[in-house]
Amino acid sequence: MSTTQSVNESIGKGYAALGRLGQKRIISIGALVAVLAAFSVIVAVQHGFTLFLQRIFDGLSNGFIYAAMAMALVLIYKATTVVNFAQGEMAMFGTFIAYVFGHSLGIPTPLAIILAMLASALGAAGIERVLIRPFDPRNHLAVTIVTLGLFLILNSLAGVIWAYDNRAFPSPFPGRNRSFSVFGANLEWANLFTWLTVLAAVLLVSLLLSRTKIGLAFRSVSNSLESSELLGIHIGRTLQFGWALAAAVGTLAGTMIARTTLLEPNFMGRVLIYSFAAATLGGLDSLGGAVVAGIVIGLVQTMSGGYIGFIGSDLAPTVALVVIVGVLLVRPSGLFGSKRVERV
Amino acid sequence: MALVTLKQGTPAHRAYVVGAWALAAIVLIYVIFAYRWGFAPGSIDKAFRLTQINDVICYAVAILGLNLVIGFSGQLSLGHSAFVGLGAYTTIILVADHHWSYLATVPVSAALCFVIGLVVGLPALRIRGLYLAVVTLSVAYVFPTLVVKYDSLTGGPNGKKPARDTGKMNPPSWMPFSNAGRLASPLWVYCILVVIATALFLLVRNFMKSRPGRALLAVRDNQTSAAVSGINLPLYKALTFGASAAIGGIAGSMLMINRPFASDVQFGLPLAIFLVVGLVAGGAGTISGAIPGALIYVFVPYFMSAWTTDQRGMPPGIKQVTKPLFDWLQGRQGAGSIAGVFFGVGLLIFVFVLPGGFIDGIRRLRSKVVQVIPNPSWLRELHGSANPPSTSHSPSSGGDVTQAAPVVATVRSRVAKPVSVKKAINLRGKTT
Repeated sequence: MSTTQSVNESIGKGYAALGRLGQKRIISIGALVAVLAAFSVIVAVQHGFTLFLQRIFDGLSNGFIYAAMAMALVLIYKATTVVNFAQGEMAMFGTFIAYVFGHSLGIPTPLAIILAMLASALGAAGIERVLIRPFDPRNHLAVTIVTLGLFLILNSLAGVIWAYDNRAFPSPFPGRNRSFSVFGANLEWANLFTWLTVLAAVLLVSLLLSRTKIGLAFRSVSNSLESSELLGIHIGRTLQFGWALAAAVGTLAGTMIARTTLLEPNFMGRVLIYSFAAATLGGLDSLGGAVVAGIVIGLVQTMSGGYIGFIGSDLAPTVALVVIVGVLLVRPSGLFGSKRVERV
Repeated sequence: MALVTLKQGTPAHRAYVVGAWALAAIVLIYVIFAYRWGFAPGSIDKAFRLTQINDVICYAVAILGLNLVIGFSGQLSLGHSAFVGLGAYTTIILVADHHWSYLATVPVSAALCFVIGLVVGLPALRIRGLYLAVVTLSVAYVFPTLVVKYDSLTGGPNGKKPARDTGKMNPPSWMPFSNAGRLASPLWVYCILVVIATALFLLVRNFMKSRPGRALLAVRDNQTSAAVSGINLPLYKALTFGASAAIGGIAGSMLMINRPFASDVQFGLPLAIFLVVGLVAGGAGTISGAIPGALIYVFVPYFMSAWTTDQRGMPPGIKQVTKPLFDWLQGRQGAGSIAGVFFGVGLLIFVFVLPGGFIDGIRRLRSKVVQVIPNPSWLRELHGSANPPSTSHSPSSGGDVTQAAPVVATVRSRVAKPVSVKKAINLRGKTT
């Protein structure tokens, strides 16, 4: 009798605690939103609304690109539970391929980008088959080191083949350098198209994962390797699909970035750091989280650099990274990541 | 089966251990004689080669520190370059601006890096695995930007170096090489660095054999069960980060003793990645692995880029095979970066052929020749020191039933103090 009672009591306490946990999250998110809103109102009043909107646009332009790269990282993380350090260099290589298609073979830029995406998907599938599959998927250190090796190889190989000159990458969108005005703030057509392209890519990838058979297999493998093996899913081929998809998305992101920066073998380094940050912030295994976090990081970087004089453009990356550390301290598996429960 | 079997604690085994240490000491001292009296191999400038050897010692210490976090406590930290850089800048600023002597700055940078390491390690208490890797990676990324931002202190992108003669390392007159001209200074630096590095290697080695060292290994192998066994996870993790950072800081100071010049590009992301690469190539979780790791880090890229400009000093067999490749590279603008390609390919080969690193390979080779049967001192005490167990009763052959129980009890009591169930549950609640 008394044991049943005490068990019931403790179960009740547990549920109560769970309920409080949910409330706490709502409170903390609410607080965050309130702080952001207050910040926006203050800076909009102080420095003018147009400037504020302009910075929002700039932040979004960066953010969508981070989001696209972060999505590629998350895809590989879901496939192999490893962060692919070579992701940026794979994207860089793909962008160079698009450049060669467009520049040397004279293929129109949008078509060249699509061809390069296909080529890098094929390349990534090959890399997965030769370099990743021989390892036990549970041996994380080995796979991480392989991606570091790939990073070195691709970066240097691009240097050998294309040298370290800056090249201008042609914009794939119509209306070069033309912009329109929204409440006085300038928005380039090309930037708008970039946002739309990234959004379309996100939509396509999530449709691919939710509506196709291979997408189902991919989700199953990323959920539980053992169960998928038992179900008869070909693990290797499914992971290969993940790598190919990630490489294609990465190449798309690379071409979007190369339009604004210049193309050279190291051009992805900076972007990759933010994309890592975005993928981590969103929770490494959440596609939607990666997109949201990418945009958040783009905004934080632009806003803090623009409005806080002490930070300026030098320390803006630092602030973005400090924000991630802060968020991870409160939520160790990111904003949208799934929590791991361990058994001894 | 091994050619020779040695039992731990027997005179033969002792002679083997002493011999190995003596060999290491002879190699270290040989370098001095070789460079002082000129029978060092290679046609290159001797002072330059000696500086490279000194670099190897510094990076070996840096990798040793990194190993403490990655290899022994199992947390993927990619921010080690920041600590090495912090130590280096501490030394160079104190020497250049405040006229300290180099050696006096070493404890300062160790202490400073220890504190900063503790602070950076704080996220590690809650963040794990790849999330931690990304956080520490961002530390590595941020450090050079801070150096550039505070350029009045650090010299920014132009780098910082002390005035020509400030605190220059010259050997005292009683050293046999004090009149060796240009070689005198690097040789003396070599001696100092070897002493510091040996002390640190012995320190870490003995630490890993101590009780906290075993606790670290328990944390690495299974965090939750380590917590249940009564290991204070937050304390150990934070202290590991601090100690690792302190060793990294010392490595940075040592680098500045060797080449007194610091700039932001030296301590950026590439260093962070290459340190991990060196660690893995040498052997994660082994203390001696830091040395081959540092050798690879210093010499492989150097020879690769040297060979792309001219094939001097290349082993003759390789010369014929690689001739078309280097001919193709001749005259290409980015030819120098072929070193990176080889480095990456070498890394891949390492992961495929020797996943445990260089040291693991050596150990496997050695086990074909010499096999040591473990017979640690506590086991000998258990059997009575006057009466060492005969081979039929050795633990490797199972032992008999009456002996088994006390052995297990002793092993348990050496791993950790038992804790109450309640405390264990509390600990677990905190960690998951």
